[in-house]
Amino acid sequence: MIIRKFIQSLFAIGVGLLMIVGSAFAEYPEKPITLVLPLGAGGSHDLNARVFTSIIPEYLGNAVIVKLMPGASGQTGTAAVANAKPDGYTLLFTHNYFDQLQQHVTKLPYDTTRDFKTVARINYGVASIVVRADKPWKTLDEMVDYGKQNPGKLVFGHSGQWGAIFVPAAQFLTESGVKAKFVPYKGGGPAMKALLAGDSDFTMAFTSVIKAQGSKLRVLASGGNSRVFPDIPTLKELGFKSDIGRMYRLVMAPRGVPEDRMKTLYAAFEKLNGNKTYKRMMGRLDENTDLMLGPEYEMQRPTQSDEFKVMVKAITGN
Amino acid sequence: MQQKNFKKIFSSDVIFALFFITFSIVLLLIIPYQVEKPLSFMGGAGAALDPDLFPRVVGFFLLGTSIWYLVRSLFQTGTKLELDLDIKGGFNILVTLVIFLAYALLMDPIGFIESSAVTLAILMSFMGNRNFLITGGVSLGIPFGIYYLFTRQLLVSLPESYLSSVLDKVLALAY
Amino acid sequence: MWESFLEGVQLSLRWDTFGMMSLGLFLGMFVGALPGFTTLMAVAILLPISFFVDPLVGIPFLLGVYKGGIFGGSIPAILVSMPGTGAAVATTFDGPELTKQNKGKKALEMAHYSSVIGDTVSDVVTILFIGPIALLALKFGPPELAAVIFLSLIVITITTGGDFAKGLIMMFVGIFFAMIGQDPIGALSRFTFDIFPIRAGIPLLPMLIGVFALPEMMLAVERKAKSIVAEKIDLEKSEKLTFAEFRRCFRTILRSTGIGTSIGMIPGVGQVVAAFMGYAAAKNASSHPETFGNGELEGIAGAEAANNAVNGPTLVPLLTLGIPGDNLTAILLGAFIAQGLRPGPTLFEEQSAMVYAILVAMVLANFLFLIIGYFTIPLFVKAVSIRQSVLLPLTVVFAFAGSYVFRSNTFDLIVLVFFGLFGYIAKKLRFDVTPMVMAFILGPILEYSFGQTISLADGSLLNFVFVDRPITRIILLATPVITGFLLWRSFRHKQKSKA
Repeated sequence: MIIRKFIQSLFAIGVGLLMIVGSAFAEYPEKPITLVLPLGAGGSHDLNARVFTSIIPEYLGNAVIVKLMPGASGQTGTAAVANAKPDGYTLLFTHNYFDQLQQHVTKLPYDTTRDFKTVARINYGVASIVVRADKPWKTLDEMVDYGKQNPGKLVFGHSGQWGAIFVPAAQFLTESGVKAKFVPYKGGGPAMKALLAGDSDFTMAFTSVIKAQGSKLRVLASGGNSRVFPDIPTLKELGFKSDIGRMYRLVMAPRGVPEDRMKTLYAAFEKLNGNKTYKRMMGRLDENTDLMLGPEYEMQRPTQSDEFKVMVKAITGN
Repeated sequence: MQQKNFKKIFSSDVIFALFFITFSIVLLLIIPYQVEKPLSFMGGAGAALDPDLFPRVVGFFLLGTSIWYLVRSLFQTGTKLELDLDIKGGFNILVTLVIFLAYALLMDPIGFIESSAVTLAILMSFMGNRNFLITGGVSLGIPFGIYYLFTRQLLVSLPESYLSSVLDKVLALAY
Repeated sequence: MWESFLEGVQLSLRWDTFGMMSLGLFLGMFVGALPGFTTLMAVAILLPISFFVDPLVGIPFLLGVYKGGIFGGSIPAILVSMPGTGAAVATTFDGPELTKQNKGKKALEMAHYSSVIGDTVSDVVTILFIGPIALLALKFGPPELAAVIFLSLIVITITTGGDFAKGLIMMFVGIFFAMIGQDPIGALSRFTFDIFPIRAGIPLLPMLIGVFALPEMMLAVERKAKSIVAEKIDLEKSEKLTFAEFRRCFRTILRSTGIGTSIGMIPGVGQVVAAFMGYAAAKNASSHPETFGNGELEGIAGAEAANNAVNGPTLVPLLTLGIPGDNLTAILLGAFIAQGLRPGPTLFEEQSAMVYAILVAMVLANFLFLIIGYFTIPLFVKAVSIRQSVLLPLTVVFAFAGSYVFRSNTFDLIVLVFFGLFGYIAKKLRFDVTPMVMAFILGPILEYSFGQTISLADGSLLNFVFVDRPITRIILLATPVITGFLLWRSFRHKQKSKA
């Protein structure tokens, strides 16, 4: 905390100087911004948030405070921001499954499209299909064949229903017509442990998790548009049609924040993306820094919603 | 004599046993309405474990244990448990509860510093602090201190208000 | 291995490592002692500091916060009956009672020494047996976890003081409270009556604070609202722990250390169960179990040694498999990755010296902890040595602030008041709330792991559990034996005290 205090006071002196130079106009943001995470501590969103909130104050001129509000599969935190004053001091850090998929599987107390506007998609995580290295399947086709010949025998361990591992696998299984046995685990870590212990046959995981396991895993295919591992094909190359396995990390604001404040935020995120420390830290987390600003991302949301709707229908039969 | 008999049967043990019996029956009855059904999944059941299995098991076992507790309390010999709460004590508890509830409901609308100052002042006076310097000092100083520590040093949020914005301004000046 | 261990020792002997570790311990203790701030939050808040320093400074710093935080949670549990975390619940059985008897200082010192011993022994065991522990962690899947949790619930209900029937009722009520909200597997709503705030379920911290701290205050007010003013427990003048007392508790400390270390090896169980099991075992082994719950130093030792002994082994899955066993190690994983280290088999093979350096730093942290605690305990004692009529209202404000920061929600404050009243009534009627709280914490874990087991078993549950999973079979077969033994002991003890 001494270091933090030191940084803070350096920072405050800097801001003070700026204020003297820039006369008395109180510009947004004049107090710390709260970033709500509808997720728990220690997950990939938490880590990403800790990294970018420790650097972005340089460009905003004020601190960003991370507030964890987990509960009700993300609904508690999301609802809190939906009901917050749209003054730009409360933002939400969420992902595309909460944003566009959840509405098709449960009744929500808010309408994400109506209540939120994207500030930025800071990056995305790519999930890959992995099996333990001693499994006989060398390619995805071999596993799919096994799955088709033995319906219900292939065990898939996931990190929670309608979550970041569940959804891409469900998309992949529906498209390939394989019936698998779904076993839930509390998060990606436990799902990976089950795979290593042999309790499950395959799971999906993000790049950094896979790299840490080294030779104990075999990757069969990756999501996304371009290869994550040089020798492993993407699902797209293998002929799958839907946008599988990309979890977009989104910073959103309640709809109604004044346009000039939104512009301040866009500008800050744009400058953040050029920051070397930010790039280096994200590189260590094995995350990309593929930024997409709000206005551009907004155009994707309706398409995503339609795709998810079709997928949910195919899976649940409702 | 009759009253004594009455008291003997309706000890607080019996009353609470009856309460838990009613509670578990109500619980079992509302399960079909208050537990959501899983969506079907790839043509099969949505989940291997039905979300109403645990509630049912708990309901039945709670009912069973409560009946055992009731039977035992009815046939228990020896001293029975009494609530031992006189009118004055009851009044004190009621006042405390009202203060707690008011504090809980008002913290968000009127702000952390204000509501805590008022609660502290009332509780301290209620407990007999007559030194108004101490009462006033503690009830104003401590909430400011907690607010500063929690929101500025530990980076969590407490309800904002007029006084907290004053604190913000003072801190801004101090830098 | 021996070479990389020695290299690790050398790597860890650095002044800045020691400095930051001490700072971490100190900060962790203070943040952990604040109601509403769990160790998890303390580590999460202080995480970014570790981003900008050397790995061998940053990681030990966070480990210091972790260790300090767990002990810090016990301080308010002892002094004002407010458990900072679930891990400190078992400490509230005897701690506040000792404070009332003006032995608060003794209790804190006992907690401090037991924590240090528990932690040190478990760290050493971890270093020696890191391979086998990793293997066990991998073998421990959902069916094993379900069996252990089931056994724990039974032990807890039997050992808590008072009446077995009442204990059972409270346990079922606790599971019921935990079911309110969403079911753990499919997130389907249960007993929410379509009220939105309830969908997220009942929050743990407000419940803990409500059920343990507020009733103390209400009882004090009920007895003598007007005459409380002058009352003051002057802990500063209270005696220090004597060597004889420490010796008397030494067996308990060792036993609890063993229990805590074993529980730490099982992923997903954690400090809460360990503290309780340590306490229960101490009570069971004692020749005078009736003193437990009425201010017994052995009770403090039993709980505190056990919950700190969990720390060492919980790091093993993270370091060897790259898989965090709980939320806290998940944050540590983040710190490692942000440093460019990727925990997992690869790290352990390529940079084993670094891994050992971190483990050695953990042991060294305990010695620093011994020194720092010696200087900080008097500060805490001083802080509560004020008039009751000031201390009690302050406790209330801290209780409310602590319940609020957890989720920033008015609903949580109402939960706090509700459980305050609940705890008060339960106390009046001599219902022990402990089985309720433990069932509330363990119920969802049991339901979740049971659900997973059913999914895995694919229709033939008995066959799966008894034939395919040998560890589960052993635990399940031991359950009736342990239950019978505990029931027989408590029955015999009752007969004795009647005669």
